[in-house]
Amino acid sequence: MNKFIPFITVLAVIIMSSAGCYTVLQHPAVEEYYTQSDYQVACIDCHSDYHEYPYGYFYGYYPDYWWDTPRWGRYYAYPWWWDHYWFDDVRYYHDDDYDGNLSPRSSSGKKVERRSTLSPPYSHGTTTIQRSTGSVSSGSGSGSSTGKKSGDTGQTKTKEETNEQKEDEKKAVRRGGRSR
Amino acid sequence: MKIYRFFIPVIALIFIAPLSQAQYIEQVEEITAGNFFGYGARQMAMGGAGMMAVDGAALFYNPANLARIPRIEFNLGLSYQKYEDKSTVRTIRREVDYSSTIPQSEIHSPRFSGFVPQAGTSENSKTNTRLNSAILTIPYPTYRGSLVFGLGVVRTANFDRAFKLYHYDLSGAGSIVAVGEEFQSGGLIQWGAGFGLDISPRVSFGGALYLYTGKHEYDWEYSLDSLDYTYSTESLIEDKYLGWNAKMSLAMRLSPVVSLGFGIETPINLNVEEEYFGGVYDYVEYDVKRPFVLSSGAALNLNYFELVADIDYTDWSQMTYGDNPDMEAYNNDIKTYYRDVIRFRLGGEYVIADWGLSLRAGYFNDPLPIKKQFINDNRWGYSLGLGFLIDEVMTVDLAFVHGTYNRNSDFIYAAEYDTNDEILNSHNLIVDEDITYNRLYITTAYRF
Repeated sequence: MNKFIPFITVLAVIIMSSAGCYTVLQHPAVEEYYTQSDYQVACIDCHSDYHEYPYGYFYGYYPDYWWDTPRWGRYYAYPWWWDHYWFDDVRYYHDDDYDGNLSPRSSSGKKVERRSTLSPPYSHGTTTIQRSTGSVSSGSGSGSSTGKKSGDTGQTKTKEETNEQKEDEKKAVRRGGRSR
Repeated sequence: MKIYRFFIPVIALIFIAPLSQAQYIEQVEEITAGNFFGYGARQMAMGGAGMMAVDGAALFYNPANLARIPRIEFNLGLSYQKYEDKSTVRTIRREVDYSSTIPQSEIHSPRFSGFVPQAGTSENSKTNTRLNSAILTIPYPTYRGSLVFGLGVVRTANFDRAFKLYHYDLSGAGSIVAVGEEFQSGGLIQWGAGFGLDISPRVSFGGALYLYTGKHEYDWEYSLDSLDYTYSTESLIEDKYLGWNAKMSLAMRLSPVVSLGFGIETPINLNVEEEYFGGVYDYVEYDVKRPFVLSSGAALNLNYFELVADIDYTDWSQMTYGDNPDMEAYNNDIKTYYRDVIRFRLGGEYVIADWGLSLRAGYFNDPLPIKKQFINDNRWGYSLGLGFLIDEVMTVDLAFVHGTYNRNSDFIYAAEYDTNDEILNSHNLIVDEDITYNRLYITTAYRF
């Protein structure tokens, strides 16, 4: 029996995590027409504080040079699933002629902007993680606010509502810009 | 494994009696005990402090830190070692009464009256280049937190060693000259599969299962040129290892600049199949159970500078033999011969970001797991290293590690036996070994 304790422990932890202990592997379904891509691109529809703490970043130390020299930041802090890959769904949050701050997840269908800063995808507001402290900074934010807290994803939206919020976010991006 | 040079057949030359598996304390010396070779050039450049390092090698140092790897990474490493052993045979012998467990020191044997032992020194060295690590790390896309899987293999213990013995006795009638040369090779390969998982915003948990395989090849050549006869012999011994264990660990970010890590590694149950080729063929199988390892580490991040320190504790006196009654009889000797040790590693890194360059240095204190009377100067060393971040996807890390220690051991030069071929007493040479090793590690990682 002792030989199986490590296996059981590992299995229990994975099960706990997939059930949402803290790490969330799968986004809760909020709208029947939503695809996985929607969950990845329309974060601020439901998460008003997405700009303050975009998922994918970790609470921890972000040295200055991760921001000043983007290759460091990309290597050590930028999740691979924020990149655009050829097999991705080609539905993006903004149009191809969008002239604001492009996120690293490019809408052109090409490989993402490799030397970008650590700005998370579809976050056109201020940079989110405060330098060298790892603490959360409150940005000017550009997205719409649903008044819901992070992780509160139980709200169901119609397509029309969602599109309206996306439009709002585009404008907000132009106003806010990046902090860097 | 055992240090076989301590029961070589040379004794039979002098007393015309074969040496059986005598209850000699040196027989419980295990080459896998306290034998950490190290992997990951970044960690090794910082004294071997890896508990808080974030790259694929975290699978073996601290799986919880896998959770900090955001991209798919393939990590490949090579190592080079030059091992040098300078031995000196003391000008005294000691007589060992096997009714006591530990040899008494500095008892002059009366059996060699007329012969004056001479101090003999000799050197031997061995160089090897080995594959050191190959690790694949795969982060699972998450909406919150982190879940990262790792799969890989490292060379966790290294058996590449060399030793040479030179001793002679002088008398008016002539001299007795003994020369022995020893080469060992092989290593313990650790295969691992594990994960790192965020269980809160600032706490990560990690777990890994490890499979151990390995081979130890031992070659001992010995010749004796006595007054009226000569003798030479060679022993080849091959051990094959198979075992497994697990590790669980935590990584905590206490503040923006301070992080801590803890780990516990379960005992390893190593099955050993041993073949002996030395005139007669012999085969034996037994288990070696290595004890728990408790590890902790800390990191202090000051923007461009990072300071890391690791401490781990292992009570090697809890090591046991099993699955073989004859070997289990030695378990009491293990408690007498081994001790608990605390390993300490300290390292620092300074990043010159614009150049993509990291400068590293470290110090380590890695005490031998044996009792202090067998240690002349404990194992310690320093390390230096460089790291390059190329483009934004690849790192190349280099490390140089210098280590040294000095120990002593007995060499059975002659022995007396009872009618059952059980050893009654022996006359031992005392050999001091001054060992230095220089290692180079190169690790490259690509993040997709």
